[in-house]
Amino acid sequence: MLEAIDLTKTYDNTVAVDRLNLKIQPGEVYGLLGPNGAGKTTTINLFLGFTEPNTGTAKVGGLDVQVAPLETKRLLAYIPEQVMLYQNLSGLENLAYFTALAGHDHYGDTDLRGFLGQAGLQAEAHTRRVSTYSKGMRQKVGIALALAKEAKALLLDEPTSGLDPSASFEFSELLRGLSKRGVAVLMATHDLFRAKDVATRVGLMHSGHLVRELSGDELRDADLQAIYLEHMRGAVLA
Amino acid sequence: MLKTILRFEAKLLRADGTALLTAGVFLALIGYAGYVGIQYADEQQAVLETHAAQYAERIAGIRQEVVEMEAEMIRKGEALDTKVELGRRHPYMVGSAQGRVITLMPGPLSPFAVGQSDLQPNALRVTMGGSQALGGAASLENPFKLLVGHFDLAFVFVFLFPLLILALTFGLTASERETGLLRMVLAQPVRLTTLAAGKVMVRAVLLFACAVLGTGAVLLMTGANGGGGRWLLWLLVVFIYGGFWMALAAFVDSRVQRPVTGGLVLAVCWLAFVVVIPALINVVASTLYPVPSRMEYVTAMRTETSVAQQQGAASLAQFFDDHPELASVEADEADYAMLRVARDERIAEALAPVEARFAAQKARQQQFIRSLGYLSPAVLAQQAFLDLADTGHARYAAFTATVEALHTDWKAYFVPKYFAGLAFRPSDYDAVPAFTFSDFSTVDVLKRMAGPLTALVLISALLGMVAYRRYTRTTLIA
Repeated sequence: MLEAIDLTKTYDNTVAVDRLNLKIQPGEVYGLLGPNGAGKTTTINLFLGFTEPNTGTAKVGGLDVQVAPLETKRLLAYIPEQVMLYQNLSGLENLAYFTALAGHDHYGDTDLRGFLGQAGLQAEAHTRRVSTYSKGMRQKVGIALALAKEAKALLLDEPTSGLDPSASFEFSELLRGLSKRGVAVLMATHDLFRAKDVATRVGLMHSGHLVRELSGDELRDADLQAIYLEHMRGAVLA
Repeated sequence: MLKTILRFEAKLLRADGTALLTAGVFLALIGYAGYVGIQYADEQQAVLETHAAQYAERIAGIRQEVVEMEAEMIRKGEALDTKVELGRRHPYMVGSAQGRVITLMPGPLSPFAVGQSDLQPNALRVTMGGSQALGGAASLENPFKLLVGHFDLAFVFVFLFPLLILALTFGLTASERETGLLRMVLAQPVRLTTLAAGKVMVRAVLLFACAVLGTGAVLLMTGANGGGGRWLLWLLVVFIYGGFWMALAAFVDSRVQRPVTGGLVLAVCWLAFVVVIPALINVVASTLYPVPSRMEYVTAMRTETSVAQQQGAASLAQFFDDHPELASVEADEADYAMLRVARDERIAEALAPVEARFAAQKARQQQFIRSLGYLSPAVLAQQAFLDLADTGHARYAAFTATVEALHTDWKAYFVPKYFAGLAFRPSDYDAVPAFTFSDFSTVDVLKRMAGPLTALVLISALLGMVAYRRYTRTTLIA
């Protein structure tokens, strides 16, 4: 569903992503780990078409993001570290707008409330102004949007950063639910614990390179923190 | 997609109170300016009607007196077509003492723009000696008001309307870019150009609806007076002028990352286009084409008047040299009326070069301002608004030219009568030169506006196209 083929992006002679090759299948949750500046967010930006690659291709559902930007966005949902919404509108109104932008303007209030409920947002908050929402509540509106859009792929950029453990756990449950529905998830994160908990595969990124991948049993049995530190220190020494 | 954005943007403007506040302020400004304009126009209309009525009454009275005098003369068996002394029956009574009072009545949209109506004479008395402006309550204007102008609808639309547009549009997409909201929006299948277009359209509809409602109400309060066509053209100018500011806001928004930067750039643009450039154009026009000082003119007039009075006989001799067809009168037979004609002509001849230089320099200044007006949309809009309200330079220039033509006809008609010295009969009242001013039609005004408005549309289209290209090529991350 998500595919990077020799994807390269440089900013002012600094290589942010260097010949990245990555393929994420439907139902997979891919945890992209790495320190600040490793190229995780740039990878997500490339899948969203927010920036142009220097070389290589980012594909969503087999479509080149640069060639078919609107079609690929129909398949995608995106949840950044801070889900920004219109402060003067309610969660319900925000969801109505974003789903309408995504081409799903046929939903009624009941449908939208259903999505917010599935995402775990309490009913009393649906019609409250977003300016009163916590970060976790806004993340839930983002998840509701992914559900309403019937997204085939989900891009997450540090989604659990700043969430309390309970909200973080709740978020992991939601991701597992989406994974079961066949949604391909790419989650850029520093949170090794959450990655190990929810991801079906993780990749370690450093200076734009994907330096290591772990999946299945390898991931379950691994001391992810040790491997992470080993690679990051090794990369620094190298 | 556009429909979704329009619907949502309207909701968003409603939710944060921006729409209500802007619309309220705009309608209040229009309401107050309309009230000021209607008051001024009503007052002016009343003064002009008074002048016209008083003149008609005076002339009718004198004519009636002459009729009665002639009836008495007939009764006494006296001849009517004889030479007369200065008095009720002398042509001087109509040609110089009364003259003809002419008024330039306000147009149907005059309450919309005071324009030059507080500077130029709207009522004149044309006599053998020339034309003099008639005063009235409306002409006794506060000098400060003359300097800064009236708070009328033209002021609201030329100066304040752009500020309202900029207040609503300065952070079109830049504010969402700054907060990160734009990432959420553009993660949906929507183009930045569509989003920006939707935002501009909602704001345009809101402000234009206020302009239609507000000015429509003012028009109805004036009684419309057949000004419907002018009003529609006024709205066209509002639309085009507003379109320029919207296009400029989009152009700036497409090039900045932060709304505060965009706001600052637009504020500077407003200052430049609305205040600085028009002022500079005026300064440069006065510097390049300076008009002779009014002091010089007044001094020359006094000197010539004094000389002409002292040399009454010499002036008359000179006059007969210039008009041999009237030289049947001996200098010692000349009466006051004849001497006055000779004196006026001598003064007019002496002042003609100064007046010609003044007129030529003024014309050059106007031409210069017309040409350089293209540097400022505010100047173009102002000219269009004044033209539509019949208070612009063109109408007063045409009016002045018609008055001058009447003055020439007046002299041509009365000078032979003065020198013949024959009685001015009641039937002669109907034969004096008439004043016919063919006012500009709406089509004339439209023709004059077409060039500037087309230029404004082209500039706006260019800005819009550049903004469109920029939005199309913008990536959220450089």
